[in-house]
Amino acid sequence: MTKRHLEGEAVRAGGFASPRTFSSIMSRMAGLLGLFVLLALSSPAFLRSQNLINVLRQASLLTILSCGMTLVILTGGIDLSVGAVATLSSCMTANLFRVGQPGSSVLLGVATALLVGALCGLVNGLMVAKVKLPPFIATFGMMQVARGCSLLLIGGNIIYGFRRDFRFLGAGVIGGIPVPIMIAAAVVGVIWFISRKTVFGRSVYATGANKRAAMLSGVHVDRALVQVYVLNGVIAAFTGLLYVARLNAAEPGFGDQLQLQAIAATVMGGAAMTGGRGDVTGTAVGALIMMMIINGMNLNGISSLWQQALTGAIIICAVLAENLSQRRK
Amino acid sequence: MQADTQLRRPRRRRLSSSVVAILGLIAVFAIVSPDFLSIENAVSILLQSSVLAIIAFGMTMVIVSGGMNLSLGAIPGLAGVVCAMSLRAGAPVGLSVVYALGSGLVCGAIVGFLVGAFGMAPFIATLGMAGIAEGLALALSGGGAVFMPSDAIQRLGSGVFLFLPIPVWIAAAVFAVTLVMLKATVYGTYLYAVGGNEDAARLSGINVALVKLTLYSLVGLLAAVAGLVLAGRMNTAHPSGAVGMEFEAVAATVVGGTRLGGGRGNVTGTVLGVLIVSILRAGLNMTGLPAPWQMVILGALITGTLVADAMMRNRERRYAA
Amino acid sequence: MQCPYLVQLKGICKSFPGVRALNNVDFDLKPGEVHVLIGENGAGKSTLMKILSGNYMQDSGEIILGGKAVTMDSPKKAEESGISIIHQEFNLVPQLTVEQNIFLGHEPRCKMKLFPNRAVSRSDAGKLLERVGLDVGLDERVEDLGVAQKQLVELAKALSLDARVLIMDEPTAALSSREIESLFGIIRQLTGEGVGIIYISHRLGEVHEIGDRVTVLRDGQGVGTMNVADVVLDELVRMMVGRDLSEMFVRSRVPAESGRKIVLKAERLCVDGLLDDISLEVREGEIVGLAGLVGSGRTEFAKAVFGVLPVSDGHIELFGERVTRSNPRNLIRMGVGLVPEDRKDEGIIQILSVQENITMASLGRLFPSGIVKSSIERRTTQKYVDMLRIMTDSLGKQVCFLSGGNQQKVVVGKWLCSELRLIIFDEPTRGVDVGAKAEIHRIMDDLVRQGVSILMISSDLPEVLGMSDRIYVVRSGRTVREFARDEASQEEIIRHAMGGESCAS
Repeated sequence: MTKRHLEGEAVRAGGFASPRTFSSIMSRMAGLLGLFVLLALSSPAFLRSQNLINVLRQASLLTILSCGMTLVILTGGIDLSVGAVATLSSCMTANLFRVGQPGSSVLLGVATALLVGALCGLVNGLMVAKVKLPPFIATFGMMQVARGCSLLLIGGNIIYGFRRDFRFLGAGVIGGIPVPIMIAAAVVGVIWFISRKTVFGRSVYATGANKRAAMLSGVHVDRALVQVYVLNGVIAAFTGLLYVARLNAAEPGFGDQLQLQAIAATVMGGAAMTGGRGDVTGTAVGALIMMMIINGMNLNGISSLWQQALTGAIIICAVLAENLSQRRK
Repeated sequence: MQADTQLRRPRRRRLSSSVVAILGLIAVFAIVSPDFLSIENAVSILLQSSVLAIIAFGMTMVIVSGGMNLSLGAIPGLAGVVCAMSLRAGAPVGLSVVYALGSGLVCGAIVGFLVGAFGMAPFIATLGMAGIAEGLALALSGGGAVFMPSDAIQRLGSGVFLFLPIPVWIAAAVFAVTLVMLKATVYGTYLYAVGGNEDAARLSGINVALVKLTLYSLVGLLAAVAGLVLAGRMNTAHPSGAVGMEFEAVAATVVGGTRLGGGRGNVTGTVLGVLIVSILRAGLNMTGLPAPWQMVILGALITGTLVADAMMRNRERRYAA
Repeated sequence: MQCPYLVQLKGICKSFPGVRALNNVDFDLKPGEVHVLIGENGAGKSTLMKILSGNYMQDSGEIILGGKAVTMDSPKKAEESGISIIHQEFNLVPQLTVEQNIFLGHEPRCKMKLFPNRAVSRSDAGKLLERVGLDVGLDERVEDLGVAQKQLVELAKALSLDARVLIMDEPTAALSSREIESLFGIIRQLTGEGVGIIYISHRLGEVHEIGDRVTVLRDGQGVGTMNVADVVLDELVRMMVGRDLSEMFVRSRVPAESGRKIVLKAERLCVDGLLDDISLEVREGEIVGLAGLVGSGRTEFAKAVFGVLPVSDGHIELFGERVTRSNPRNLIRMGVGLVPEDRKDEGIIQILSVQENITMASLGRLFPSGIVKSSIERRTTQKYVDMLRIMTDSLGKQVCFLSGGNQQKVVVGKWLCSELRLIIFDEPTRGVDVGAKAEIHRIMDDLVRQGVSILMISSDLPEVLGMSDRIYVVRSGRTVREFARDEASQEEIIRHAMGGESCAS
């Protein structure tokens, strides 16, 4: 018997649910460092501060989107509609915030977009929790509908030129730090708090880890599922706004591949597709790795057209690695 | 045993209700637009539905085995692009077709290996593969459509044989093959067994991993065939030409009475499902609504169908318990 | 060199983490005989048969087939050696036809290999069905058959493999008496053809009816093998239970005050197809035992009370109130908890930590603001970890790394933490080592002294007798007998649980 009975103070049950989560995040940090060194060696342009800030700025949007995806994957689900919902929210607000559009407040526009995101999430959540459709089917349907709606709103056009106060969200800088990076840090912090420090967050983990046992322990499983999808819809819509603000352009189809990237970042961050395992801090690291790889490819002259194939390969490899590590136990 | 007979009835009702749905749709669209009933339109609907049909037959087999394949909308694009690029590089048509089919086969085999040997969830493995296949197609083609410089391939997509377009004949051939496979071969029985009760299949000595490997490979190959037909019909290979069709294929399969979860279903029902989706699409087209509206309505209708089907099954299950 | 035995098992030992499942067991089977294997739940019958059928490897000991020692390393190997097992849970594919199921995995094929040889399989299947006396169409889907018919399909499937050794695991559990009669007819016919049958049963009455020899297992050891003709039932019962009650934890008894409040009252409770008239009462501060065979409806009753199975008739009263909206959330709020039988899938959440599991059901009560305060959570968890003496090196350890007994304590801790008034224990000490078992009993004793009521479902008769104030016996979804603590004995309970009035004679 190596297990000893626990003494009062010898307890380690702090922020990380288990030492395992902690060590898996550390190993990802090591991967991140290795990648950093590799990229620095392969291309001198990588270490330029402008480039590094650029990587961070790109990673920040993906991080925000992936935070929502992480919650969904923690429940054992998946949301394929986030890219389309992000696009929809950007198209919705595109007309409101164009230069010279009078009268609409930024706040109101943002609120509308987020509301639409919440609505999409609500429908997804109900289909998953109440109708019990497999999440990938339910959200696939939502993806098709949302894509159509984006086209309805602005047709095949690209809309650009937005108001300064709105663009500040995506392109602004406060004290030398780009605003999206600060927003991403805040979102990671909030989602981390929600998932680790609230009763709701606990139901998310419990639901994903073992739906039946959670239900028999009095966890309101269906409600938790719906809430997670709603929250994810809101986050996706918010990310869509940030993209518009950063690129100063909205176009239907810009977000077509975002859900793949978000899933890749999440699984690379250590979340298990089976649910109940993972952490948003890991996801943030995953998103950063993802963006560094893409940046490295750009710097080394590899066409951005390879990004999607790469994202798919990353998803498969990360899930395979997780499967194999579970099997060894 | 009363409960059993009650459970059996919805299964039979399914096929007839599909037929009724088709007739109803035709009636509605015929009223809206008299042209709808013309023979040309009927042939054109068949032509339009042939690519979806080929994909959906593959999807049906996958779903019967308890799996899912989200890469079936991406592989056709890859196969078309591979064929066109190979032709442009000067390869003969036959070899280019082999390359194209090979690309689908390899994509399918990788998925089959991941699902069969490593027990990866089919939807995530095929989602990743969808990204890879579409991404490869984009990267190979340089991001845009590629002209298909071959009469043979074009004829494959738009030629006519015995009054019907060749794609319809190809779809019919695929239908015949999958029908025989599911209903008459030992392999087909194994697919139902794996989908119905995987443990029992394994205990009966069936090599489940091998069954899955061959299934996903075969279905990848079928998707490549669909890609060639599609590229031939358009004269060009679009890297994302069939993306989204995997969803329609799932819907057509489910509407045709095949159950998500496996063990039950047949390709005959899928034919009806494909026709429903295609008639809806064609009918919406004739209403003259703007394309985005059509996309929203079609997406919502398909999702609604899946929701209705799931709710019906939930109710059945409640009665069964 | 003709060997008189089809199968000999010699000195079989098998351990699982924390449990010694089989200890030096001998068993043999002659051609043309029915050898009955009996024992309580968990005595090791299934494990022994899983070793023989290649699903487990023994730690030590020999398997001898027809005089030759073999290594039985896969189910395939067993099948090729002519050993077939008919499982309790059906290994059929419900959506396939009778014919397809019979030949699944070994279809007769045409020369091309691709297509099944339907002519051969149809005529063979027809003959097999005739042999097992099943009168259904070959194209009938298995899901449309009744339980008895499914069982016969399984039997036909086993025979299609030319089985010479047939293992039947409680084949009569779900059959009516007429169906049992015809099954026995088939068994006699098969033994006439030289097939050896290993017959696992809980029903003592069947031993004399069908068996030639009988082996009793108890706690993973063979107690004895006898000719059925030489043994009387009472002796078998004694051999099965023969554990000393004095090893058990001794409860502290408080003299029962009359007029204690009724906590749980079930009246003529029915659940379609599962329960058919369960009536019982649990009073404050009382441990009520619910005994019966596996599948008699004990677990289903617990689930119906906890709102997981829909009640079709009758009603439940809790703390004097009729329960209307029955779901786990509401019941926990009312003060009821369930320690489920299936600990791994329903009790604990394996990949979460000890702390997260223990506070799972009481987060809403502990943190009404919705924000979890780590210090409070840790202190609360620590209290129960200490109280229950849960062995773990940290509160953050994932529960799947704990031993069975400690996992069970975590489940108990979860309910203690939510301050309940009634806890239903379903097999509280299954798969738990002896030390932890006594501790769980001590905890239950402490609980009732604090006024908590306990309904305990158990197959472990000494446990039922040692712990309960009153005992109900359930058979086929009905409460058939209530015992006060002093009236009950292991023999009496077994008799009522097995429908053994007939065998009492």
